[in-house]
Amino acid sequence: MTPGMLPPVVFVLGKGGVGRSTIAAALGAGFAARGERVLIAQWTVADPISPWFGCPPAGYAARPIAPGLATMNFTAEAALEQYFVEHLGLRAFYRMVVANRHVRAATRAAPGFEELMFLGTLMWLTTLARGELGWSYDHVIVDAPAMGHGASLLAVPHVTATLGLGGLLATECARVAAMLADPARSAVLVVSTPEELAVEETREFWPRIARELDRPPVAAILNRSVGALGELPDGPRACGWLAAIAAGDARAGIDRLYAHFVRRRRRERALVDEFAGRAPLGAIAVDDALLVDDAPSPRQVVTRATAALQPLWRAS
Amino acid sequence: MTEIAARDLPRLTLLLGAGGVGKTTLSAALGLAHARAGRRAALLSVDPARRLRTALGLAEVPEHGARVALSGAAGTLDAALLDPSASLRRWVAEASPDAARGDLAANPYFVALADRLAGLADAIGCVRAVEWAERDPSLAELVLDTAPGRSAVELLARPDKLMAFFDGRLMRWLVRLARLGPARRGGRLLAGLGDVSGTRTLRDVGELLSAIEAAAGDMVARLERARRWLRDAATSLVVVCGVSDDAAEVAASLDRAVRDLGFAPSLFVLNRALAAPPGWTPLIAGDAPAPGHAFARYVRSYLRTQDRVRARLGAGQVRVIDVPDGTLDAPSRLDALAALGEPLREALEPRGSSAARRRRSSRAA
Repeated sequence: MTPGMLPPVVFVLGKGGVGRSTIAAALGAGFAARGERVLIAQWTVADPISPWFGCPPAGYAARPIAPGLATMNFTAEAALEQYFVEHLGLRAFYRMVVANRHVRAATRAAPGFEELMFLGTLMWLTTLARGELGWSYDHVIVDAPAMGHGASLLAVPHVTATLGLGGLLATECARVAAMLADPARSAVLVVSTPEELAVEETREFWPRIARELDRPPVAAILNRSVGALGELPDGPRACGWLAAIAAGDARAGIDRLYAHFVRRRRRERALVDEFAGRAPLGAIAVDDALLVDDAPSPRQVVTRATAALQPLWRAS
Repeated sequence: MTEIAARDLPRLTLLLGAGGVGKTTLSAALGLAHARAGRRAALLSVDPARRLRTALGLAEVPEHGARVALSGAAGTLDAALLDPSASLRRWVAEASPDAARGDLAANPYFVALADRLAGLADAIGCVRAVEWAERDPSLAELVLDTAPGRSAVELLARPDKLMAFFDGRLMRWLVRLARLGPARRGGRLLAGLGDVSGTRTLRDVGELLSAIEAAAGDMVARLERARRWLRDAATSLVVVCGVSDDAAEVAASLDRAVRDLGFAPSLFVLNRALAAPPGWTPLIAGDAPAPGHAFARYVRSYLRTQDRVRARLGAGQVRVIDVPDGTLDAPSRLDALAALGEPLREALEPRGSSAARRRRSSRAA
């Protein structure tokens, strides 16, 4: 892979709360700004991204949120119907077997099945749709579920391969596995923050992702970086404004916030040192928006992040 | 019916919220506060951070549970790790001690199901909670920490889904297929499924299911109990939120999602809240001059975000309490943690000490 060029499918993985959706939206907006057709594929209770762009939350059907940029929110049921009816052209089979309530109950609870449908949908959108619809997305940015579940997505083809599947599922698994195995077709970005749990989880999952994919993630995104802070003031009340606000009950809180900052900066340096050499595109810091803007709107946060992510596409 | 089933189970508290808002820490804090208040408490938690394990005085939190060493507390706290794979293996081994363990470990489906996928984690968490309560009848409180975001809602919705799986006609067909060959009824459906996944697959799944079937009876019974327990009046759903618009958005969507399932949150917690400094309003007002240093700007931005998040959480009928950021680095970490959980425990008391409630609301005003 050429440095600076990301393949069609980009998985954004990370612990819950590190800002996966922000990074996925920033990445999508960056590609769209370069004239590409981009989809952000989410799998979540409620789509947070559309409202940032002034649009109502999206459902399973992709909906435009900005020029060149669309988003969708995956549900297994809708994907299953689309897969059998539109893609395989098996409407009768879908009605008789797949939509059967006993089969439905079993597939909804069966581990790995929804995940396989999700991956199949991504593949359809980036490759097969070209043949069936006449166009496909240049990039699909996957706002994956939180780390444990998100990383298990990558394991799905392996799991099903060891199960000795036959029939349609086996074909589907093999195709999805080929997509994940090919660095020219898919890549993983890992998002972390300089928070203790996020750092622990990144350390734990990085080798697991590398093992599942047989290659490391292409980059580590360090979100909510405190790099923009430069040198910290000597203490939590070093400037006049802080001295004025850190009175009474607030003092202990601001002292803790300051101590928290000192720890974050220490962790951030360790994290950058650790991952810079382990990913082809290195470690990219995205400043904590609260440091740069005053009470920023989510859209401002996304715009800032797009600028910070420039190294990912500049060279392409 | 509901009352009778729930009366002999401890009071259940579930913590929900976005990732990174501090659910696991607050769950542990609440468990400790219960123990300090003289209650026999249990904590069922996802793998806590090292610092939190250290604070609890536990090198690791095992699946079967460990007692947290508390000096001078009238009550007790037992903590266990939510580990669906380990729980499932243990139940199958307990249900058929001789044969099942070996068979199951060799079945590729079980290995795949148990170790690599998290699809059933939440339902198994429910079963685990009921099992714990059944085996320790003197337990008064059970605190259940949940996976972030979407999964937490599945925990509420899933009992029915999983029961449908274990109880379903398809499972009985598959088990029969594994044991006796094709069942007469369901033959066409199975043949259709065979086209999708291969006939051998169905047989393998059938074998797995018949191994699990020994444990499934207990699991289904416990899921049914969990379902009623979740709906019991004494059960509390606590939505934890942090000082960020994203976390507030997740809290609002969780609130909607649990209401769609017929539940209602008992409490919103604004975690890591900064106490409002006296005379701060003009300092953080929109037209006030921005402080020069980045850390000062951060503090101002934090306070403004906090105001916005609190207003959003407070818009509905659900009570909102502030919990300050706790430090676990102090020498008396357990005390610090218990102190963090105390306002949460008080807020969850059924009729509460009304004096404490008045005190809190006057401070918030």
